[in-house]
Amino acid sequence: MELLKVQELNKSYPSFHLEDVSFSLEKGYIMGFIGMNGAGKTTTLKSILNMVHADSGYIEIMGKEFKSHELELKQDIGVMLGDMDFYVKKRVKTLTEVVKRFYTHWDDTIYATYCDRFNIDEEKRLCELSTGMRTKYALTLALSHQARLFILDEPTSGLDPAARDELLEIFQQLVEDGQKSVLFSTHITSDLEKYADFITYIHEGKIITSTTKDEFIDSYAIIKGTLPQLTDELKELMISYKKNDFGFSGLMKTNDHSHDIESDYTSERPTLEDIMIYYAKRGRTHA
Amino acid sequence: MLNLLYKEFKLSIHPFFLLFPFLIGALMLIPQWIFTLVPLYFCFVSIPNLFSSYKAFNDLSFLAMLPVSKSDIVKARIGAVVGLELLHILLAAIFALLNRAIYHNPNNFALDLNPAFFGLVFVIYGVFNLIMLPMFFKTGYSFGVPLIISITAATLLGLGMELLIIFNSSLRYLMEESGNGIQALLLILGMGLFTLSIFETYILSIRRFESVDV
Repeated sequence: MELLKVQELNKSYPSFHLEDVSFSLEKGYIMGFIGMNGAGKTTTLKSILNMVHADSGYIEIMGKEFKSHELELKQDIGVMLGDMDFYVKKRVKTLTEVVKRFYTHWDDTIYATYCDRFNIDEEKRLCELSTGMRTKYALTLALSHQARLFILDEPTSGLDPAARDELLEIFQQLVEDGQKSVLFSTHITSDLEKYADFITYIHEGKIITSTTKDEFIDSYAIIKGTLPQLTDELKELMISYKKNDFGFSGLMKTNDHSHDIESDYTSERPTLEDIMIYYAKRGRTHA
Repeated sequence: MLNLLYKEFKLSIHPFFLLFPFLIGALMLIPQWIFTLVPLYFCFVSIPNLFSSYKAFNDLSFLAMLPVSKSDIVKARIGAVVGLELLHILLAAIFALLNRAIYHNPNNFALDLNPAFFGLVFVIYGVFNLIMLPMFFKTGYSFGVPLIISITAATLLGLGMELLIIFNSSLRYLMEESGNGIQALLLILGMGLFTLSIFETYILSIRRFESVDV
């Protein structure tokens, strides 16, 4: 069952357009929503949550159209958009006391369990918590109201590698029961190598692809060769390329046509980072 | 809506602003004074501080996270402001009674403290809300220009009436010498206009806030 379905989402700003953004997320999976800074990740997530008014598009969450069931569905969604930078001078317990009133399925026992597990000191003020602890607190709130879909905007940014890994492990544990899903945006691709099941890649407001992580990586190849081998025909086939003293390397989509090319050149499996970098390079070249 | 009102007073509004009406209300004990300044201090002091707190606390981001409708956000904000205004009026009225009891001389050089005066106070707050809140909800966070315009309007209305009554005997007769019945009527009229302004403030505010991207 799809917990989230986004169809042909469009939003225009004077200098940026979100164009026909479509993807879906099944129950029990983690989806990494990746893209460079300014690619449209936050705008997409905010449009999903109706915080930004999309010009057109259709959002379905847990089988229901989001706009007409917004309040009911928000009861089942855990949201964290950026750093938890509101009411930072308030104590954790004061914030919790306010937040819990808004959720019909709030469970104090679950809340206490996660506070204990994440070592959240309720007497502390929010500003006294580290970035990682604030993220854990946001997750604790979401888990305590028994959210099934977690929409998190760059939850790992600003965290040290150990804290990032710990957080991603928590995501993994969240989806283990097969009932919950996590959609989180990031531009730190190493976050996704180990933990993401699906990748949705957005570039300049357009979804390049939304598929399983392995399919996504397998759909690209890095081609390397000498400079004389860098023909105009090859340049056209590549997403972008880099030249150096020893030759060139470029990213291309794997398809029937590319098999012939791959046999003539050195071919490597790219990393997620490679894919993002070559797309960014294409953006700069085309700009 | 009630949960949002709870949030307003638990998180957003500092308890000082509940104490402030007592302190400001006590200014009603100054003999021979321009008493419309007392309710206006709410506009001069409380409102700028409250709205800068909303912005500093990043209140809009917090609200965006919660399962609440925009109409409830608007209702709760208007409810909180109106609640504080009523508290200011109530305490000002108590201190006004004390003023009358202490000085035994109702004849002020400007507006006297009587029911008609409080009718005017209701109208001042009504006008203030009607300008301030719909303008604020155009963005949900920017309050500078709305504040300047609404404070100017409320001050002109309040101090304008204080000045007019000094120079216009008909107005002084209406506000101070027309008898208890007329004064009570003016109070009820002021309350009625204040109530109408609350509804209009809500309608205009929600119309603007619905289209705001958070």
